[in-house]
Amino acid sequence: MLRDITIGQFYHVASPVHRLDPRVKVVAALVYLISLFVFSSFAGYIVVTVFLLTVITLSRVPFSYIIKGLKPILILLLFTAFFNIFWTRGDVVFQWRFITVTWQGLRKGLFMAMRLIYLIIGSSMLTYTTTPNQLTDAIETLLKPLEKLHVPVHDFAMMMSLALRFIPILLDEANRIINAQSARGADFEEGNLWKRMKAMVSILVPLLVSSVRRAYDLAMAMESRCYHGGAGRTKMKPLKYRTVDGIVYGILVIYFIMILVVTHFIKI
Amino acid sequence: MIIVNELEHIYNKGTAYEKRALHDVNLKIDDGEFIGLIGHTGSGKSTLIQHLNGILKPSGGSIYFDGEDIFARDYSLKKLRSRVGLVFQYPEHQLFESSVIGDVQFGPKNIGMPSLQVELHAYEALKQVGIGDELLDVSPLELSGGQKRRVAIAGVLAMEPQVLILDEPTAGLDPQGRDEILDLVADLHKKRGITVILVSHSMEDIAKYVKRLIVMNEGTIQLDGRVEEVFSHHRELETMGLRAPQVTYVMEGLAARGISLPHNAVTMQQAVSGILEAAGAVK
Repeated sequence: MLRDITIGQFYHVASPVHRLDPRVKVVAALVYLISLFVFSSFAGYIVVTVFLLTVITLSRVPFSYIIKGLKPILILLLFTAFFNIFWTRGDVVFQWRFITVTWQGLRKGLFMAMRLIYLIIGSSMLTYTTTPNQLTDAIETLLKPLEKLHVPVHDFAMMMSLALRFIPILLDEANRIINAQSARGADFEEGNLWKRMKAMVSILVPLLVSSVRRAYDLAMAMESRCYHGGAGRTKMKPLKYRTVDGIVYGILVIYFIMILVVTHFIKI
Repeated sequence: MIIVNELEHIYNKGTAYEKRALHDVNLKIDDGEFIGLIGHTGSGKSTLIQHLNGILKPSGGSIYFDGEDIFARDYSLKKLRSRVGLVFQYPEHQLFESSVIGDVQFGPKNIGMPSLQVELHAYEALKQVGIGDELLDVSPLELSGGQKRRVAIAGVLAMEPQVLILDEPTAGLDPQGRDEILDLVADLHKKRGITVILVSHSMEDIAKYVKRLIVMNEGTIQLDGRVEEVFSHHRELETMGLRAPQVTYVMEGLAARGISLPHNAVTMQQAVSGILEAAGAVK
């Protein structure tokens, strides 16, 4: 059930990827995401796959766990593939009444679906290997220059880290409420739309109430620790680059150039 | 009657978070029993009770309710849930309707009770938990903590279960609220004649009310017997992070000083009468 949602959560193991400086990982994720959009040839996926598999192997996050994280986007995936396959004009492969499938459609559908899968896996690798705290630290440091333009970087970083922090808590809470309502005979899978919507209300209202309560408690807790925003705040564990981090930056540059070169020469 | 056979439950099987929460759990619960289920945090008591009405599926083993395997493919879990009522921890967090009576009717409606009975049972349940007529149409969010919890218990009670399981019904209540809820549960057991399983980690809470105690530790049942029997193993209880009620220690201290006491007291009243009796004998 909801417990199975693994996307966006930290996976606690010790690995070289976990030990990397979070700034490197954020930049790597960004480079990776951009790299997925710069090519339109399947050859590019070879480079991406090699890169991603290396990261996954090094990170020691089980492959089955990562695949499970794809479950929530399954419907989106099917939709994307479906519309691309049936709504692209080109050379007809198969025709039956009003349904037409073209080569171009099949190719585009597959390409888009792969891009989506790679997007999700790549970005979840960031959250699997980086704690919310590290992530916030990294984003805050990386965006620091924007403060000159009066962008409240610290506030955004704090909000983001709180949001991430509360994902597992709210999931847990939702699970508990689902169980409690199931114990009262609520059925979330059977019945007509109206009945199922009514059952959903029995989850959403308590969840909303408890979120508000938690937000209120959290605000009180922060206030009582004299939290007053980012100004003059120091860090217990400031981020420091190691040699490995420099090497990874180098690898990223090579990776990006590889993709550009490979897809420039091989157009499939 | 409920029979639990070799129950095993493993959370997050196959990931780094894999955890065996239950193993080798064997249990037989007769109709009309009043049972205390006790154990340290993480001992598996909540996991166990969530199997009893089919919320969780076991990794191994089986449970029989009135002779039928509840995890069999063709067994109706909905029917089971109307017969085994489970009140979760902090049940007030599940309230969602705009009125108290509406929320209590949610359960009976779900299990397909005829509407006249729904109203009747909901009203009865509310009366039994001590919610007055003036509160029926109030929003549950406006009630006090103790009242909310009563309403939530009524929500399960209105389904007319044969077995009522309460997970830490006194958590987060003040001493007075705690006694009220426990008295209420004891009263329900007496008046309705239903089986009650009370989950708690506080011995004092439970000793006064239940007849049979089941002690869980690290995912399995460690002790199971009459209350006095279980408390006589208080050394063992201490190794599990539990304590027998204070009076047990007083009585033991007295016995160690050579005062012979008539019986093994578990509640304050029993202890007082026991000590008075012993004092009378000395005179």
